[in-house]
Amino acid sequence: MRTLMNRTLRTAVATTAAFAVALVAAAPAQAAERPLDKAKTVVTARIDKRLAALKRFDTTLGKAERVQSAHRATLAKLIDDQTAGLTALRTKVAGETTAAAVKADAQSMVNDFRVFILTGPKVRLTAAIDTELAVVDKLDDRSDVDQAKLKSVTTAVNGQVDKLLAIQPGPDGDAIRAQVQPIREAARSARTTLRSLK
Amino acid sequence: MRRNLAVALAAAVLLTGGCARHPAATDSAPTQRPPVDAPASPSPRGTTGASATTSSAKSNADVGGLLDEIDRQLHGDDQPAQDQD
Repeated sequence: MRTLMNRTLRTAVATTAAFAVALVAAAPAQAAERPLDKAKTVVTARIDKRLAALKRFDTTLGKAERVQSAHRATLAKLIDDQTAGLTALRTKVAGETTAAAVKADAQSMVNDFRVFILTGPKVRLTAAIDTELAVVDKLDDRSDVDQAKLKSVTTAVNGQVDKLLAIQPGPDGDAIRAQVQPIREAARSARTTLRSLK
Repeated sequence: MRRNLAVALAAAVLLTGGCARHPAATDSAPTQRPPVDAPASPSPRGTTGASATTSSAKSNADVGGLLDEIDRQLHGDDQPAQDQD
């Protein structure tokens, strides 16, 4: 009886030890693989978020009836190019074999596209400013509207869309925000003035 | 009898000449045209006034719609981005 118990105990200890050794041996391999896969998953999710945003911007552009045709063409091409670029980057991320390569892809996803701080504002502010210019056109011949104020709106927003569309993505996010901000403020100020004129 | 005939003839000549002169005078005097047109003008003017009011109301509605559209775009722009980069 005691012999049987001893044998069972010895077998259990040996099995546990073997399992522990196997675990310890497998750990470095898993540790090396897991961060890469995790990084790929994270970067892919961020790319998908940008692709979804581009789809929304495309819808916004389609609904904005007053966007001037040249601006519309520029924005449509930008959205198409960025969608193609990010889709290609997504495939590239899936094939990466090192964490450094995935990190470089993540930087490219941000710096080469600037979907959220530049493409989005480009679409929305272009739609707003071109619509403001359409309002100016409608109020232009009205005798009950302060024409001096109307002219100030035209002066404030004229050429702002071209300036906005000329801003290029890059590594300096603060510089991009600084270039977009005065255009955003001009659009907001014009909206306030137009509301007061109506 | 001759006197009566002469008076009748003179009256006939005067009457015919007067009737013939009246249309000629009307055609050759442009200054008389406005009074002819004048009665018709109040009606179109009234119509123009009404359509101007309608057009102005429509223009106001158009402008209001466009301003709402601008508000939507700028409101969308105010929303925080999904990623801050």
